[in-house]
Amino acid sequence: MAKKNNVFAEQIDLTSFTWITAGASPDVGKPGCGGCHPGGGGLEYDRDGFRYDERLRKNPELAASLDGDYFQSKWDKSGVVEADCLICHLPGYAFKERVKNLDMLNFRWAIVAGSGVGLVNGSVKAGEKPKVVYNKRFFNDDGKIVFSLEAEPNSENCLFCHGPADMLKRGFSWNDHGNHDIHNARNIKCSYCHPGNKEHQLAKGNENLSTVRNDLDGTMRTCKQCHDSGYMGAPKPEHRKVRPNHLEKLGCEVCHIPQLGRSSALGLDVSTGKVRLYSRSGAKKVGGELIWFPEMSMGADRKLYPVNAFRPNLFTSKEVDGVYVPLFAREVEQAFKTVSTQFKQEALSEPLVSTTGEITVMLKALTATLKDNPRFQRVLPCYHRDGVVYHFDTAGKLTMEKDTSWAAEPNNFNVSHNVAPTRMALGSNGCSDCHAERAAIFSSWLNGKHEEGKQRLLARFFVDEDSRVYYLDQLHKYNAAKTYLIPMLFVAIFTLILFRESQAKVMPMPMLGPVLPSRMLLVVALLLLVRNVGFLFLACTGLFFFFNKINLIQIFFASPETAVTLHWNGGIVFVASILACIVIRRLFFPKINTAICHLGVSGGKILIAMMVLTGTGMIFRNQLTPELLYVCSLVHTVTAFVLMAVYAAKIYYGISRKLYSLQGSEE
Amino acid sequence: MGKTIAANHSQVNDIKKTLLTIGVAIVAVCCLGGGNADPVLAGSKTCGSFFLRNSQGDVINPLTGENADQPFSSRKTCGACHDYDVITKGFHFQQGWEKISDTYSEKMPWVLSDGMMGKH
Repeated sequence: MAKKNNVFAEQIDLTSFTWITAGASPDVGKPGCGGCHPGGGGLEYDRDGFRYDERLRKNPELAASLDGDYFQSKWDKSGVVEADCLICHLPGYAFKERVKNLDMLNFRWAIVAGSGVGLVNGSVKAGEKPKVVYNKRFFNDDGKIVFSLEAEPNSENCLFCHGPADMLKRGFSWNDHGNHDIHNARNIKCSYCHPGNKEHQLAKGNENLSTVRNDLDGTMRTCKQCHDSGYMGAPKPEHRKVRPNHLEKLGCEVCHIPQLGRSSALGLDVSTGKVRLYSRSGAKKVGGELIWFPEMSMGADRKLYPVNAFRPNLFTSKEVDGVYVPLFAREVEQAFKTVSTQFKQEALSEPLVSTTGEITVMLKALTATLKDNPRFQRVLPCYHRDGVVYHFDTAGKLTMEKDTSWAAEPNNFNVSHNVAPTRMALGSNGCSDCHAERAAIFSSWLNGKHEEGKQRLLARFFVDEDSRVYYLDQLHKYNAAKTYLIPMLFVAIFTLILFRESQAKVMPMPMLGPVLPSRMLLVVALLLLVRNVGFLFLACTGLFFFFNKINLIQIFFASPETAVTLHWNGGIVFVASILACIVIRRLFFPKINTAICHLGVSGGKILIAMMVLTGTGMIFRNQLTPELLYVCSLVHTVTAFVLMAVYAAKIYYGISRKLYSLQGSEE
Repeated sequence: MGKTIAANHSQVNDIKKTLLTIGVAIVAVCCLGGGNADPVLAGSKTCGSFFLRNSQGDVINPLTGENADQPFSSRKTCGACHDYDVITKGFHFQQGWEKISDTYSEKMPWVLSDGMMGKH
């Protein structure tokens, strides 16, 4: 949009006046900016707070000025666009009639056409003064009208604007059997989840792009708030088949919006100076029938969320201070017209300007047409696409480099509607919904994004977010092996320890001193009991977690959260009993090896220390990065199995020796 | 026998009283509860009948021909009962216009607000 104060006409892009009709195609019912903007605000008052029509009538010279609100405007004839309450509150509002009238510059009259209470004859654009013919059938004898208004807008009214806009951004549709939503199927209206206040500030979720009033983000009820409290009969989820840590790492939408049924726009092409949206591969058009799987993006809370990774292209000019200044649509259009015969005009699933030859042609055309444009200190046209920026070097040769400018910021539109029924959610058919070779949840992120090779990405592990995703992808593809490999490790360690013990020289039992503090011995025995019971408890709960036995967890502990809390509390008791035992042994029985306290195995101290360290890390999981948390979890698990194997081997060997000695004594 | 009949009458009366009490309680709960019903679930409301008004606030009456060729103004028509200025503070109406400024962003001078009106 143009600034209020301008020095020359080339600086002015869309004025407040032209903004209203920009991008409209009324013949196909496509609204311009002002079609969906319901009026009021900048469509009624200028940046000084004056009503456009009244001010221009008093100061007609403003239309000839470089004022960004009045430059070449006809506010005095078109009138202003007041807030049209009926767009939202009148069921059956004729939105296309509104779009048509706005395009004819019948700003004041659009509300009449949209409401359907009268006909509007004439067009300001054609130099006419429109007239209204009201339909008298809508009026009572006293001249009053009765509108059948809805205080809570019907979803259909919201869809006038959010239907097409959110279809292209995220494949969203409503009242659509080809792209259903479980909330829609339960007759939940938009306004139930997005209620408004007196100022008509509507509750918002979280959105990455194209937002206003980000301070209102997160003001609507979350999935959890509704489903935990049973709001409006929302079923309470139990997630019996899902590992609890998945709920910490994934947004609800990841599993509950596994796919969409209509193609979003994969990208936006401005090669011709006009906006052209292209669909995902396989769809005939944006909004066409297509099953597709959203990409994944990490949110501010470090959870993954499904998105439509939108890919716009852009033309800029790099200024002397290094800032990439976006070109106006008309500037690109002007350049494209000079070379349009060199481009194929057919609809493609990619930008029209794609190859290096096409980029060269277009950048040369821009260099020529922008040559005398006073809004640039220097003209250096650049083309931004997919994280790469193309431009000519000083020798006039086309070069490409990694785009680190604002133009390369990700354009990930959140996918948060078209929620699937529970039986279609990821995980409802088991872990293999995701943990499989070609599961979309991982591969969709990576497709087409990592052309530079996997090795390089692996080298950047811990550094780059994308490489972390690649690593996780690899890990999860082989995740199924985990449940076999680690128990096999248990068996191997168990066998080795048993073999080692059978070969070791049997040490005689240590002799206690002449003065036996029998009470302290009792305390030690008690501590050893606590240690052993603690170990057993930790092993059981740990195995429940490892093998994801949610049913058992719920039987014994009611919830995974309680089980986790008890697990780490048990760990504290276990470690405390060992420490107390060591202290007492050192003070009262210095001749006895304290190794007996930490399970009686060599290296037990180190293993327990590792468990404590990694366990502490997991208790404070919110303070750790996902990589560090993953390492902690892995080390904790492997160490736990080693410790269990060692302990089990010791017990087995001890029992067998005892039986052997009993047998010997009988003989 | 007589005692049995009397006892039965007494029981019937008790049942009647109990049912009456329950009925009164249900009505009372419904009445009180109705007052506190969630407005979201309370169903649609209409504005009743009203005059359309033009941008000067004058009545439009197609039956008498009074200002009958003029478009109605939502500011004057809806604003007769509702606070138009408060309502249009909503972000759907403002779209960043309340923040728009030529100097909104130093780094990206072409960005004039955080909404659709002025945002790149």
